[in-house]
Amino acid sequence: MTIAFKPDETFRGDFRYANSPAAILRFPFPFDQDSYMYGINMEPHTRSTMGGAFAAAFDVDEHYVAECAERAAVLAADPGRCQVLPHMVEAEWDTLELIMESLSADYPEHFTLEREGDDWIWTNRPLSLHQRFRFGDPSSLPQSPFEYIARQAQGDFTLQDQRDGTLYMDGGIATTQADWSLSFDLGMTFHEWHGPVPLAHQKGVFDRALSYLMRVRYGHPARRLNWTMTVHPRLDTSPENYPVWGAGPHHFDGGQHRRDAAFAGRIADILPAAALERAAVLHPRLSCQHR
Amino acid sequence: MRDQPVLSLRVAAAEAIAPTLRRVSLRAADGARLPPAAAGAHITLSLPASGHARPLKNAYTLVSADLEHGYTLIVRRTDPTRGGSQHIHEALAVGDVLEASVPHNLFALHSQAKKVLMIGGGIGITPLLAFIAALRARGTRFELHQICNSADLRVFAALIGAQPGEAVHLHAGRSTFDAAVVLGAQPLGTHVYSCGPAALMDAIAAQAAALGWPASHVHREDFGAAGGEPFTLTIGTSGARITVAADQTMLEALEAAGIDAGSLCRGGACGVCALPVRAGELEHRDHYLSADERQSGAVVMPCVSRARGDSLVLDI
Repeated sequence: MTIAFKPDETFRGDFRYANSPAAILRFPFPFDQDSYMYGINMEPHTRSTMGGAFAAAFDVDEHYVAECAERAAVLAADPGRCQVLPHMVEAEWDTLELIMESLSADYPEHFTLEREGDDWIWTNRPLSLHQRFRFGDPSSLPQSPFEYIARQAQGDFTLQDQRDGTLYMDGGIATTQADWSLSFDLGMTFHEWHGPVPLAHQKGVFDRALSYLMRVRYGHPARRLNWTMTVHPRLDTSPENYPVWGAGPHHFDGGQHRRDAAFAGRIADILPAAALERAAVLHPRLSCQHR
Repeated sequence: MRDQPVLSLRVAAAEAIAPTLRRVSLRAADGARLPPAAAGAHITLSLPASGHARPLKNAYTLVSADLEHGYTLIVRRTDPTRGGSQHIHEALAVGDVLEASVPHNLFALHSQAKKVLMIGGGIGITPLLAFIAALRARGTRFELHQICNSADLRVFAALIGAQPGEAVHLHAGRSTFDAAVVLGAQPLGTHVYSCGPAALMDAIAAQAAALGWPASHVHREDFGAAGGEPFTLTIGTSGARITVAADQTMLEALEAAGIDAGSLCRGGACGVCALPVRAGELEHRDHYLSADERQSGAVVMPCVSRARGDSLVLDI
């Protein structure tokens, strides 16, 4: 399936961004309820054979090139958006291997991985990258292995270490977050980093979600659909940049604007900005502790 | 590696390293790169067994998993009634192709351990060999106590290959190993890993608890308990009977019989597949039902839970 990329899109300033009709049709919804609450909507990542957003391990859509450029811009301004603790170096290589294998298998016309033992050649045609490197040798890549590959994928990622009966966020990249901070959460446990979420703790959502995540097995990926709404298609709604996006003239600060009526006419505008959490949950043990 | 729950592995090498121990190296049958596996991971092999209609599924720890040698196992010939290891010792030959699960790890090293104490009994040495390699590479301090028959001492010593300065202790039998002394001498921040007969692992856990070790620092080998004993499911409304095999979930058995129970997470967390129960004792393995709901015995999560006994009647 060849994707017609839209490299001139922007997620700030003039907000040059739109979804083609085909992109809206492949969106992994419809919304099947009239109201929503936090819930346990994790499920096995069963591949759709009909195309759409569930056909691949890591979805690539028409915004891929523009989103990768946006990520590079955010990282240039704030390198702290990508941080990994030293003991997670094996998880970094696991992530690189998983994403490269998945992209090259799911989108062979756009990505190619050639391997001769630990000598690998990675070709990313949409971003015009051709990289020879030695698997396991970080000096053979322009960035750390995790940052290198996460710059070539849509959506944010975290690396979680499973120990002490919980998951620790011991690494990640966050340039498209719904107002959470990697710098703040780095090293926290699952319940700590979800601490600010209202209502869901009392419903037992996080206890059950943690149990489920700790049992996700290598080779059996899971997914969870998650969406947020923003007025503009701004991907970088980070606490670090709150003065840039939070206080502007288009800020919705609750109250009457949260009524359905306020949003009703905006659904078409909101949909493009809804951020799909790319829920290829990396197997916590293998992604964090392999070899 | 993409989602591919079953691997096809070819036997690349197989050799007897002792009268009851066989070392087997496995590579991908198609020559592809195998999925990575952390120290402590195991795979489940499907092995033909005489007298059994279906292949036996046995879990084996990976002694090593690397690009050069593939997956390496060391298998002890055990009780002939469990035919899996018998097949590996008597029939398995280089070139044979076996079906295997992808690696799964329920016995992983703690990334923050200040020191790792390993206690092995007999063939329980296998994950510890993987640990030793990982800890040497990581530069983490470790201490090993391996208990074995005197006949195995030399073979095990060769497998460990202790380097100068390493705290490696081989014990010919339990009598020279004193768990209280060994556990009592460890610095704070030590994690203990035991692997071997259940009685040994129980004794280590009990001794650690008695000495006040935090439970989070005490680990024992675990292959998980995905399946269980087979049982018969009766559909209350129709009287139809469905057999749930040992390696099958109740949900899978219902689906195989054409009954769509509806499910989402298939891991006992979301509650979507809950089914009403008319009769039968339950073994609840989910994380969804409340204590009261469990107690009532009136509802079950068929994706993970099973009958405790040989039959269960569903109210559907």
